[in-house]
Amino acid sequence: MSLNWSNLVAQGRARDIGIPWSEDEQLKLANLQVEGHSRTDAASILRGTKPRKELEAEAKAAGVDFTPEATDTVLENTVRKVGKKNK
Amino acid sequence: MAFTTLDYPKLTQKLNEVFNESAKDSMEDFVGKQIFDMPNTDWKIYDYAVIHGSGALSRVAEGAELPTINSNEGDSAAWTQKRYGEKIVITKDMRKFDRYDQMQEVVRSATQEAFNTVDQSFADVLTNGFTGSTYTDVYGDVVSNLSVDAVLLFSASHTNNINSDTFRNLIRNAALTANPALARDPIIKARSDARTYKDPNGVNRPVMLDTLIVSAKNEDLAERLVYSQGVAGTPNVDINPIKGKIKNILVWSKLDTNGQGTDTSSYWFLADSRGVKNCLKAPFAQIPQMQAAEQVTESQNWLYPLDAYYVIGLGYPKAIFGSTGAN
Repeated sequence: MSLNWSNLVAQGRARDIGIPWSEDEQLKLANLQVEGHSRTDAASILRGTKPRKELEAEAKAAGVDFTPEATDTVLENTVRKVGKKNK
Repeated sequence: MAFTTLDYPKLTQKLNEVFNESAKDSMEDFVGKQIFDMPNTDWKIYDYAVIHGSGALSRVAEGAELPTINSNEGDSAAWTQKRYGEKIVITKDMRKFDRYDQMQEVVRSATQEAFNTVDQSFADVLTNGFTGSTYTDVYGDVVSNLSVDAVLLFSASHTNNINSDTFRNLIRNAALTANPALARDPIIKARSDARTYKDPNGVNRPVMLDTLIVSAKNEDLAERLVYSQGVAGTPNVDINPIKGKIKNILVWSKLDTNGQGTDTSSYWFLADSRGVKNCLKAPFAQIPQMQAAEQVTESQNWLYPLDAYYVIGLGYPKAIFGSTGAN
């Protein structure tokens, strides 16, 4: 069974491709949303990644080509690798 | 005596009749088909998409055009057909000594087992829908138990792709304890939870839980809870409000022990008979079928392949509620 993981991750409804949120994480997500965070921002906080817009800006600045399907973790890792290479 | 290749068609026809008769009986005992949608498909990959309702009627002025309906496409998934099968062996000895009883029994037993295994694979979807994100199915494959929203089949917070609203299909009791044992109180609470379901557009689309699904162990308790004139187990003269609202009790012995041998007899489920087949899907490219024989030269056995193609998929599970009965 193959779910539409890229959409689920992009919408903050899964941790990463093929990795769902655990029950604890779902609770934390709900609490963060009650505190006023959007679902995608809440997901970024739990993943420990920067907010999506910030990541996209960094990727563009680093010259990384990406599509909207690129997940936050993939984008962040790629930006980090490119950054190391350029140093 | 079925001995030479000329005897193939004759014996095959006879064994096919046994297969058909046994398949018909097995289908009658096949509980899973009452809650799983089993469409025939030619697609190797079955594309599933949720449609989250559509806009309500609008006031239309005289002579004006009707507005176009507005629907929201929900999550999607792709389910790939898998093949399952075995070979039925008719040995040379069976044929040489005309042991037709044995041949028939071999075919009958293999056919029943094929349908039984499919039924168990359906039941395992329900009993494995509470923890983890995968389980080992009855065939030994590690498969996902996530519904189309990447949340466990039974959860307190199913999500959608439109907004942050969630819905629950994990049964709780009036004290809000999840996974209660089968009793009147959680049935009422689950029916209430289901009726207040709102689709992602915010429209209340009541889910009417009218089918109680229990293991063989819980059959008696389920029938007393639902069919008693008064409230079961009390001396008062109250009417039994559940009677008539739960229209069907499905007793499913495949729920007593799951495919991996774990006791799951306390698990129970409620379904909306009108909507459950939109949630639980099992497209079949081929129901279990027995093919014509092949001869193995060395042993002179005649082998009758028995196989099926199907896949199980979990849609947007608003019409099926579940409890492990642990609390």
